Amino acid sequence: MLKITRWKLVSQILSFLIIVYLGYLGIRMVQWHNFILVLPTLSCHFLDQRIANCFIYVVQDLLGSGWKDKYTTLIFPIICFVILGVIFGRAWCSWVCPIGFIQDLSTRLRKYLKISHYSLSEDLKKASVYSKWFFVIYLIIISVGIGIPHFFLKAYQYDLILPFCQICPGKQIYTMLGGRFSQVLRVDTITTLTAVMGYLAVASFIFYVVTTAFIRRMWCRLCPMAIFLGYLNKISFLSLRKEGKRCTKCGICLRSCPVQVKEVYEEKEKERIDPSTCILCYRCVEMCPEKDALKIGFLKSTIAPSTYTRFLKSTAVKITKGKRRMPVEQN
Amino acid sequence: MNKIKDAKYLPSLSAEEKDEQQKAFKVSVQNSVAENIEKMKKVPNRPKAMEYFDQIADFFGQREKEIRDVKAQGGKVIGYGCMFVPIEFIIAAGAIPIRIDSGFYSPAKLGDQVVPVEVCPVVRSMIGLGMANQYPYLEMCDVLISPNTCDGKTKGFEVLNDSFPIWEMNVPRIKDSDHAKKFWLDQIKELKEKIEKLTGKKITGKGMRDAIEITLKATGASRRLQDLRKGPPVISGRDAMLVDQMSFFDDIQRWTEKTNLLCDELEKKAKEKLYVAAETTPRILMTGSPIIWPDCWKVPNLIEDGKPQGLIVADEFCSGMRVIYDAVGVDETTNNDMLSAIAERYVMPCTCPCFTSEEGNKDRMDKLETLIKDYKINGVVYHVIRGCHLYAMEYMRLKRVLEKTNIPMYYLDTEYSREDSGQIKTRMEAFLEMLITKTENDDLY
Repeated sequence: MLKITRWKLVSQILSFLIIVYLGYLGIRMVQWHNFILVLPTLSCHFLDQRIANCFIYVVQDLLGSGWKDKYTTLIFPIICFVILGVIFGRAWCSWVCPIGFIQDLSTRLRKYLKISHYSLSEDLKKASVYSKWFFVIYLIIISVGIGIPHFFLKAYQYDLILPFCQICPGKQIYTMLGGRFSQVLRVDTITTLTAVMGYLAVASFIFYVVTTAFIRRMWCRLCPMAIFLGYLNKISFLSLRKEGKRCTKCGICLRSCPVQVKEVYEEKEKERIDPSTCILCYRCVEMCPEKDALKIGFLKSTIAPSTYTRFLKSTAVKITKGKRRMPVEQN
Repeated sequence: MNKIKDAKYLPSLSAEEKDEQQKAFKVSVQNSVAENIEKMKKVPNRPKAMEYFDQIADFFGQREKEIRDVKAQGGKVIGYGCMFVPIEFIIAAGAIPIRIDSGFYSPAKLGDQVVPVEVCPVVRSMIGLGMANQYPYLEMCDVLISPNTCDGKTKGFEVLNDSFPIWEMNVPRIKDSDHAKKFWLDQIKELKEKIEKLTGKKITGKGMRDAIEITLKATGASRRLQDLRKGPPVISGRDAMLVDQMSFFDDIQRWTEKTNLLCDELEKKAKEKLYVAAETTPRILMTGSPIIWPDCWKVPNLIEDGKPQGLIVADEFCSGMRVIYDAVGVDETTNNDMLSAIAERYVMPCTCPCFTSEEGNKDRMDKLETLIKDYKINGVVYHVIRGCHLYAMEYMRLKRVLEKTNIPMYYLDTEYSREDSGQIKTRMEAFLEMLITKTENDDLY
């Protein structure tokens, strides 16, 4: 099949079912001795039955309790994350992650309703990168802080445990997917701090819903996991390659890119396009009308190059067979 | 629509003078068309599907009648000067798009009365056409759209404003910046409104979608033809160029259909090894100022009918391969995205030397390098019409690029007259002979 988006949809549906519902069929926690599989994608712990853990959750959990064993428990999750990340890079975000899938579904709905999307300005794009860093620093400091004995944050450890998970929009979504609707958007007002965290969670969920409706892949530009995967993007086996000389700079790739990666359009010298913002969804490859200008690469081989036929299959304008009646006759 | 006011440039010709000019033009054009088609027919194994394009190539033939019929029923004809005008809108509004370019030698002399001879003959010839209104396609135009690209076209259409209403379009000279994109998109939106007003039909989302589909299919057919030229010589360069150029005024859907038929035939020919020239014929890439049917066929005739013979397997002309090569890439079928897709298609991938950037017109150099690689080019002919400064000035850059890959290039400057034919012939033959020796030597070592 020429249409890469279709392959991606299949992959997303399968991953969604595996990550979210396979646990309910009795398959619990893929593990080897004590080591539980860690995925570089959102496999949320707010789901009762799940097959693997989300990397961000594991990091917060182990940082919060790892003071005694000098954080050595972090080694396996990090190795697991790096191996999976090095193979597929940020393709995890676009081909697997259920939160990304929900954003894609929302985009499909928006397209169906023929509502234009909103593109972020360069300044906002920069701001989104900063907020990723903000989330990472926030989750590390708080997690480490609540784990250190006698440190003042220790007193709040039950309110601040898993600082990012508490405000991640995935929490609400997975609670819903798990069927515990009564707990969705619930704010605990036991202490001021829990109330604040609760309201922040509600705010982040509303932010997710509203932005997802009008901006393509907005959450993917803020997700802290993207920072780590972004670095692995530079060395990942799965890659986006470009033959600069064949590029006519028509700008179709830039316009169709869900995360507005400018490099794919601008780069003419480097063969590998690997900005940390690229989620390797390969929409640019299928939308590129120039033969061999953009390619999906795996190690040194090419999986799929761009061709005009692929472009015709992928463009939003349906190409029907035979002659189309001239619009003049319809009027 | 702007009304035609007092003539600013053009002298008014009396009715007899006009009549005389029109008659003389018709005779000279028909002779030239017939002569060139005759020459092209002499090519061995010429595809039969070319007969259709031969018919369309006649300016006073079937297509003229068709357009006149449409006009008689109240249809509109919109002429445009450069490849920057989105024909999707014109198609969606139910009008007929016609690209106005002038490859006629005789009216250029008429144009000399208005502008100096230093001006590029394409423009002079166009002005000559506007003076006596001899060219049926120009005469039928309800309005002319003039994108301001090179100086010649910009001012040339200003002169033509004496005879026709003109819509000017401001093409940004630096194309790949955000503000240029926005600037151009605004012009596209304005043009859409103007076309809607002229035709009285609203350009709806569905209309645009259908029109884009039509042009995408045409692009597909055009690319298919070009891809066939990458292999063994199944079609002469002149034939391919004629096919590309007939999309200027032919019904675009019929053109697509016929081009696909031609491609089917060519595929068969490639299998049966029925070639138009020996496989060892030097493969030539032509680039530079546009070569326009019928009179500019002088140079390709000299190359392909010369001894030794060359074969034009690719060209980079805004009157040739580039006409409908680029694609409108619609990502989402919202009106906004379709408008940006249409707007970007006409400016962003364009390699016209009227564009520059921090890196100059690097896109064109890259494109030419790719063409040389893909079409296995042996030599490049850089065609410059005297007065076409933009192409002339980019010659040196291309020369330096090609020196690295050791591809010989020949700079051919010419005028709108047949006087230099003998001279060009001698020089062209020397160049081709050199190419043959070079390939032989390359094979040896």
